[in-house]
Amino acid sequence: MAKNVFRLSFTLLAICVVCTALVVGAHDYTNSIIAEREAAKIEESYLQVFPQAGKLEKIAAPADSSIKEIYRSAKGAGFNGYIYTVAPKGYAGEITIMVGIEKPSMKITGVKILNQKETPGLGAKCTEPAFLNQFLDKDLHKPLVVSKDAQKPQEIQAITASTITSKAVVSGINIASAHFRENYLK
Amino acid sequence: MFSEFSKGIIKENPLFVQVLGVCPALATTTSLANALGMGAAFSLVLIFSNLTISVLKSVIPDQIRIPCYIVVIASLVTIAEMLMNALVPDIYAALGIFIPLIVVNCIILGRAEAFASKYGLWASIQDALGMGLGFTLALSFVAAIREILGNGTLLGFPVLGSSYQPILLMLMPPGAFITMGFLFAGVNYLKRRKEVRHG
Repeated sequence: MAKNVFRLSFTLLAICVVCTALVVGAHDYTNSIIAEREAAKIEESYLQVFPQAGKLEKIAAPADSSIKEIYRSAKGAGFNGYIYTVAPKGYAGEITIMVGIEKPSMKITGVKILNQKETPGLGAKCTEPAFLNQFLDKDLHKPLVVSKDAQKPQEIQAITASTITSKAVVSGINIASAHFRENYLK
Repeated sequence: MFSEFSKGIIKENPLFVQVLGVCPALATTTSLANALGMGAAFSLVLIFSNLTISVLKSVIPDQIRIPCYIVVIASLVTIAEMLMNALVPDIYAALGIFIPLIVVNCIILGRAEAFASKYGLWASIQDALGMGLGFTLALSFVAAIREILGNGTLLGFPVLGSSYQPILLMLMPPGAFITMGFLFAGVNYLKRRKEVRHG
């Protein structure tokens, strides 16, 4: 019996060691390739939300806020815009949004949803151009508001049956624009 | 020669007849594209898992076979995920979210236990192909119904016209349960009718 236990444990140990070694090998091999591509993808997102970007530089984001990252774009003598990554709370977890704001016009140059877990068919529609294109060229001197029947320039048409998601995206952009107004609008 | 292949498609369909893998079937059948993605990723992992278990069956002692299978399957899935992410990023972007779900898919462990640990390499690969195809077809069936009723589209193309008011409930978890309930009832009905006819 004791001998058998030893044999069984040893076999299981051997299988675990081999499997772990294979996983470690695969991880080492793929890790750098994946990291490189992720970085390239984020780089691409910056250009999508802010096509006129010059040299991008990361600057400090305020702690304890939904603002995750701020990049400023240097072009010519000054800065021509800022790219915010904000993560407000949606209906199901955080929605990570990237938004480009031009300076000095303070207009939105692009919005992209990087990550979301909203309800498929409802809140998940926030990634579609039909919703996101509304934000293009919006003037951020005043906060945006969600509306069921958007008419005024500051209003954003809500996604039907997904008010929480729509409000979350708009609030994320408002947090970014409020920070922009306070710090960079000079 | 292909007898082990064909049984997984209808006679021993993993979802409708064995009622295995219901959890991922509920989660990934919101659209036909998702179902096909899950089916493809699942089939790929099942082929490799059946292959490995079939090769290792003489090495693995009977008493500890389950933990051994789990270690082998979990490692395989993890390695497959990392390799796909690094080498075929486009396919990974489409299938990536389903891969971790496969680790806990009971069909994989079920086939290792019920088939690959008893049969040879060629039979095990056939079994994996058949079960993979059977599961993919079953998922596609559920997903097609849910996508058409819940969104008015199939594979993203509109099929029911713009006047159709989509039943959003069909895309949410209750829709999955309702669809699968009707399909299971249908399968049971057909099975019973066949039994009566054959005495």
